[in-house]
Amino acid sequence: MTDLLSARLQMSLTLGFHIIFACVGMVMPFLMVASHGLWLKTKEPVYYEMARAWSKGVAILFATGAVSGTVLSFELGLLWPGFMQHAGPIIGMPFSFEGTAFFVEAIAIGFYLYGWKKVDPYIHWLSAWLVGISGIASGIFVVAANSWMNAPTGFDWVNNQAINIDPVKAMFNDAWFSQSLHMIIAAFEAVGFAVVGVHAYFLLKEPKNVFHTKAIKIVIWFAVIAAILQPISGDRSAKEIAVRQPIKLAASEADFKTQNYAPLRVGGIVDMIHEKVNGDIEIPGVLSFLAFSRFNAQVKGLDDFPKENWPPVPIVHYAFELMVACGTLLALIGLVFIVRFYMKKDIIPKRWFLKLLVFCAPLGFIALEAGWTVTEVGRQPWIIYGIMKTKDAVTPMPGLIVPFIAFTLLYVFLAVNVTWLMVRQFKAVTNKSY
Amino acid sequence: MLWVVLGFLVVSLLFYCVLGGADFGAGALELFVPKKNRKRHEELVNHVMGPVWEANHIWLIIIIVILFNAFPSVYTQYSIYFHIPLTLMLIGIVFRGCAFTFRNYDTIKDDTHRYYSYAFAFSSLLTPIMFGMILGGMFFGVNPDAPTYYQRYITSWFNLPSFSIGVFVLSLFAYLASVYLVGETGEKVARGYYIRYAQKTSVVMLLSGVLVFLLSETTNHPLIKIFFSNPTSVICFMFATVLTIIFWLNIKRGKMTEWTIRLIAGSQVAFVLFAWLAVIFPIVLFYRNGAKLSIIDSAAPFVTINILAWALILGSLLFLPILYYLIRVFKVTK
Repeated sequence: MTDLLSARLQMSLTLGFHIIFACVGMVMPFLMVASHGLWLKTKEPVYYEMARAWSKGVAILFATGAVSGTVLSFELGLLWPGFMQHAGPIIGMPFSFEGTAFFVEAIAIGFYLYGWKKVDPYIHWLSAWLVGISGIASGIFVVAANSWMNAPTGFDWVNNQAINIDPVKAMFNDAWFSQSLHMIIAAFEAVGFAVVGVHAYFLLKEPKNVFHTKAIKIVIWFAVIAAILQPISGDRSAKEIAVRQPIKLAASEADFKTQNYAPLRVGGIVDMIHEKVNGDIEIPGVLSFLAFSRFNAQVKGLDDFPKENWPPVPIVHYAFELMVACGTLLALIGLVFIVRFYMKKDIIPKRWFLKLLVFCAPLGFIALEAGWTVTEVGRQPWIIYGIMKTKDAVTPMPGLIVPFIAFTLLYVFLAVNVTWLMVRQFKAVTNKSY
Repeated sequence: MLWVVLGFLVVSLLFYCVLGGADFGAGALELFVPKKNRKRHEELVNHVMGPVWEANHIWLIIIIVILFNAFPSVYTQYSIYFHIPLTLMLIGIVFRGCAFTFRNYDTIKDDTHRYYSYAFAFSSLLTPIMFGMILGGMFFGVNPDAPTYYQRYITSWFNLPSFSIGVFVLSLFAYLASVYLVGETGEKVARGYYIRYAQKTSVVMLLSGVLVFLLSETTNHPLIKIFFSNPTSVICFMFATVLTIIFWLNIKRGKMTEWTIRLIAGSQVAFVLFAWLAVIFPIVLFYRNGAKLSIIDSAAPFVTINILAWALILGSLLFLPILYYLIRVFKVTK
């Protein structure tokens, strides 16, 4: 394995790992705000127990997110010094905001976790708000920094040096809004469905359980609303990418040829040798319509670009399909839920629906990881789109397979451990009766 | 504005060394606390560090963000030449953070906690040593022209003088933790223990400090001459020594309040840090071929520095009051 590949795999592993915990840190505080708020309002102990049970899980997940985030802030330099040398001064601004927001978040979470019965209940409740708001803020800032890699701006690139740096322009690049929006909604969708799935699982086992019933009643709204909004935000992203990074869209759709009336491709196996896709379903004109709102619009294919600038097409295409499939399914489930709610005024669904929710528990996170794969792998071979190639940014130190293996082992070990701890948490909760 | 950013960098470094250092020290102490006291020590550490450890470690993130934002060459050069010790340090940080929280938040308390405790204690030991060894590598110099991988990426920091700095940093952190815990425990017996730990660790600190000076004579940066020809570092050194004497004379009598003791220990760290900075500033990395990397020369363009300085000023206005509130709530209401 080349050093470049090792570095890329290590980066994707550590990012992919961190994203899960970062999303938990963004979304769970709002779930706790909801149950904690209901407790303050109704004084029903079940809401108090719910906020506490969630906060214990959050403590573990947040700590894992904090340390894996620390790893990333170092790794940017450990693996990509050639990138950070130039990018640091340009996109350091959102990172410094992110650092500040994360500082606030860490203080607030310490306050929330240890503040039970120590501080005024309403101030305590406010601290949960603060955790959530600063979590979202740091998510937006960090995605803004990432979006700059897709839409680099705010500098002039002369003789391999960045001059005339404008950090404000760099932060508010063309991609920052659509990418941040898509990410924040994705976080709510992924965490929402995961939490609903877990509670649905226990409710199936114990159909009369008040705790799980009320938990689902709170969380399902977050999940469902996010799932319905997400395709709209995805559509906006796709329209922007069609203009800004047409090669990424081409790779996502595995479109080898530039064409009018470009079809939307569903499924299929990518054949890189003959540069075609086998066994797919093509819906004529729909891709053109989705990208440019006209059925006859021309959509650029991979043949418009030199081959050395192609991303790994199969990975991007399969990841894109996976993301869209999961997202579509979750959005449909959301619609079914809403329709059912308006017809029957009853939130807690039937057993088949609960089973469906259990099945859907991991889908949000799968979509999220797949989506990041599209973003990041789809940008290859560039680290800064159109400016710097990933291979020119990697550290000169050889033997990068060693840290890659070390981090893989470390994170597998951590993942097993966190899962095991979570299962113990769930068991402890279900053993209580209400 | 450059000086504002440098000021924040030094203050963050100081806070990380004092607050994060006490955290690391408390973890490392677990290995040396006799078995009969271990459980009590663990409980105290959980109680004291639980609410604040994440906040304490964010100083490190601030340091990193300042470096890659404002001094990109410094950040990238460290990343290249100290890849291995930084990675080991990171693994240490991951392990200790996770082990600490896992131990603290597991709903079922059983035998598995022993493993978390070991992971927590060993990684608390490893990380400061690596931190010190990186400081050593910075000062004794990296060798970019070396022909072999080993000489380029390993021997620059993996050597005895750097290791002695690692031991010094570790004992400094353990000392800080002992002093800090003296004030945190309400029990008289435990207080006596931590006073003794503080004494023992300060002896180790002193010995390893002397060792750093002696071993540096074998390198091309003989520290004795460099250090004692610099008036600022000599003054800092004298202050640190005077504080040590005051500490030794008074600790047993129990006359000093907890905050006085902590202030003394914190100032000692500050003086050690300032003495070190006085020796090297503005050079932050030496190369064996005689080249030097100056932090001033590697500063990013003015516009970046300016924005960062404002972000730090406004950010600290935001987080310092709530950090103060956090510490007050959990320290005073006991």
